[in-house]
Amino acid sequence: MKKVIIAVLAIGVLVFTGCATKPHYVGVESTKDMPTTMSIDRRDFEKAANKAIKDMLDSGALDKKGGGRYVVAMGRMVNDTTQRIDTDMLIKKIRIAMLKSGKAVITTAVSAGGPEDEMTKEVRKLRADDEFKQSTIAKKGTIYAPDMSLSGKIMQRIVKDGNNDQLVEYYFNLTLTHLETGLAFWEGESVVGKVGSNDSVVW
Amino acid sequence: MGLLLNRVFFLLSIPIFFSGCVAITGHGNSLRSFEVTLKSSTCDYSLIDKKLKDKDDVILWASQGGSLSRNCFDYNKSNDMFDKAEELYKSNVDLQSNANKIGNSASSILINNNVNDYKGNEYEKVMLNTYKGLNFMALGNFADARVEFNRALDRQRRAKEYFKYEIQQAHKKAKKDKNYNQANNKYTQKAIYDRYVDIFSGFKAYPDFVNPYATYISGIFFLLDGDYVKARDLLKESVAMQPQNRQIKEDFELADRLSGFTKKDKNYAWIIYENGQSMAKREININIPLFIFTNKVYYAGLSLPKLYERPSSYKFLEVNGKKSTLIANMDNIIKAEFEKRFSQIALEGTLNLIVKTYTQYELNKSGPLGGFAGMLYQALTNRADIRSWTALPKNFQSLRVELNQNPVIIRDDRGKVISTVQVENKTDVLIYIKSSLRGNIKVHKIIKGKK
Repeated sequence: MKKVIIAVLAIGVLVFTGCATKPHYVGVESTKDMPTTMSIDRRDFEKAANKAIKDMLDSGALDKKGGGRYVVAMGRMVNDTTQRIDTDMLIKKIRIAMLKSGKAVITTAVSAGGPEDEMTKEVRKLRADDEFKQSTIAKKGTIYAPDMSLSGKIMQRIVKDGNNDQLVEYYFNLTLTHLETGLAFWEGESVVGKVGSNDSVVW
Repeated sequence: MGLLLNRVFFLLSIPIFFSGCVAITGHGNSLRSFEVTLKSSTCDYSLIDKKLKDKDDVILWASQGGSLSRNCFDYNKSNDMFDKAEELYKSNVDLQSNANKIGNSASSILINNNVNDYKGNEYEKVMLNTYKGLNFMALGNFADARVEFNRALDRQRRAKEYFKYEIQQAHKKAKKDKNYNQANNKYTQKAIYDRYVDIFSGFKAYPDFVNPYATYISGIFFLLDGDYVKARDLLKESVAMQPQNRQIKEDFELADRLSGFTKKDKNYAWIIYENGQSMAKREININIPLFIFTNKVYYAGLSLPKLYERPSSYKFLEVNGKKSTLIANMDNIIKAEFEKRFSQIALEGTLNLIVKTYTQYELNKSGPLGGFAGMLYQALTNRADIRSWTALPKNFQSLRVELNQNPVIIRDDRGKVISTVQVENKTDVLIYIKSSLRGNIKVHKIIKGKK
């Protein structure tokens, strides 16, 4: 009796799971390093960030005439997908690489949606407080205004294919805008495509 | 005699063993009890909490609970509830084989569909994400609201595919049932469909089972979020669905202008109005002819769910002499899906009745006690599945006015002021009003960047 139950369970597992297509990258045959979900995962962010960094540095957009470094502020990063994503996962890697390149510095005093680090403003509020040694408080007119803004959007496109699978593509778009002129000095796009079962939603 | 008594006992114990009492009582009492709470405007979660704690139809009661918490302006709680329902849709309903989604499982054939967990409807999945989006907007979290509206739109795309292919697949599967031919007998089916002529005739379904409200409100969200290109695309879809709709056309034209080089120099108030109560289901009993015994037509009572209309609230709302315009008729959306699923529901109900009638026939042959037990079993388990998300409105309406005065004074269809909303003239506002019946008004104010 036990054997019968085990056999039934095994068939059940095969019936319910065996036929669903496991998520895999578009055009990649190898089974190594295959994604486990149809959503964006850590590797997708790494891939997009690495491509963006290389593109940006290779483009020469951050090579300042006469030397020196550009001050870059973080613009709006829009998540236009069906997944709740912390866009910092993408941006942080790019910021680190920009700083490492020696061609840019990032300002945390001003960014889309308010300053990333409020302390730049907060310390200046201590000017009226005589408990603080006034000569150690940041002077007026010392905060650097940004030269550039890095903004972007993560978009998603989902289509069903003929085999009851679905194709999901994530587009990581980034733009580096020169704030004095409003011109985009650099733009980059990285696409990640995954194919998997259409049984459920991708998020 | 001893053996017969054992069989009788076994038969009567099946519905109780498998389902507690719902196979016999149905779900009517719980649904009625929830209606009382919802209409009374009390934030009494005891029924919802109990259902969720007992894991009793979580999709249904988490959806109802999400609506109740939204009515109570507890947007975080509402989203927690909706998340529970969505999680089960993803991990359970979506992944089940499609034939089982509609029913036709052994338990629904032997007992009735009430013993199965509630699996929801496609339009409910779309509305779930739409409400989550609206809740996030009210919380000032436009980033997560965007995700939810994108999900609602993707759910809509999936619903289109579902109706196109998968319902047909379920019907094909039912054809393999050994009683299919008897159940599908044209006289048997006619007896059933004659009782549904009033709801199935004379209404026009929206194209591809789309919910025009989900598309429209997503368009308005993207407009408020400053993504004018995406807003224009969605409102263009809305206009294509209803080219004569004045309000949708005006909103599309605004998005179209703003997505070009036109600078936004005016601010607006959108008044979105959820009117009345959506169609719900109740049980009807039909005496249908069964051709299962040679040379003899056998009549048996079949209980099936049937949609019925519930009341409207204010016919329209009015601001500065401008009346709200109908964007989508939720009743039509519900009816379209019910109609699409009904052939399967009717078939399953008939198959269920045939099995029970055979059983009763066999028991009758074995003596009066067996016959009585069979009759009792059939009578007890002949219950229709009338579950649905009943907190939805009858229809959705919209109205937009330029913000050049404060406050915005909202009047009902008789000119009586029902709400006065303080606004800021410097920014757009979405005033979201739900009224399930006259005098019962919930006003949600949404301004980007403000909680």
